[in-house]
Amino acid sequence: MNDKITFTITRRKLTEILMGLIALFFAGGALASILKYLWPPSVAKGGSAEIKIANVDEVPTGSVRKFMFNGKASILLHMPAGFRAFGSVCTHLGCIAYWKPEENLIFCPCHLGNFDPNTGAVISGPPPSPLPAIDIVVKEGAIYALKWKDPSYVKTISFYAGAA
Amino acid sequence: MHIEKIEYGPEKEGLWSQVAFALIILLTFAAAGITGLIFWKILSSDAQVASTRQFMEDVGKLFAYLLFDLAAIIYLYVKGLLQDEYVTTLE
Repeated sequence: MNDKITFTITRRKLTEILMGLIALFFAGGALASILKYLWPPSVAKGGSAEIKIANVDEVPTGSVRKFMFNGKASILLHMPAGFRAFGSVCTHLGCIAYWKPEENLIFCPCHLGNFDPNTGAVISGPPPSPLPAIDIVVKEGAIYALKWKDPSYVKTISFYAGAA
Repeated sequence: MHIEKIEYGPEKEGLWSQVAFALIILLTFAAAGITGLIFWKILSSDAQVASTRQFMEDVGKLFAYLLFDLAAIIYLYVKGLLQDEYVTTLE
């Protein structure tokens, strides 16, 4: 009695299987990237976990460093008066504001909103409220983000939903 | 109404065909490696690194390598394993 099971596969079929596996692998990676983008890992929501932004010597006076804080684009500024950190999502319509050194302000390009780089307050333009400040600490030669300075304020800004 | 079935004929034989098949295997492993590297970079890099020009250029280059790799696999598959003629069946 011959109970031997034989399985034959052509080179062509094997190639097709390998290509299929590569396609699956690629699709899996793409899906994981999309999921990470849609649901970024949230850290320190209202807590006190420290997030390292940069080493002090990497951010000389007058320069900035972008970073993510609780899933929101944020900005660290080294002003003459010291380090400042704010969420850089504009409180008007959610565009990303950036540092404009020549005018010494944080600028939102969508509707020309201007914010004070020392306080985050609105200087001009349509934004209805200031950029939310982030508590930072400098220790051992590095700058760390700690928490929102005013989490209850952050909760009132729709573009910061889930960040506080 | 008829259904037209197009099937390729038997696989090619000979040295070139075997070399093509071996290259396909090697290039498939390379494609898997490049794919893994691309998504590992994307998933493991924090936002500060991922927003730099250097990062985007690196990932773009890897995508270009992957594209050439896949194109080479398809070329070898078509030229190395398939017969030039195909069989058409009318049912």
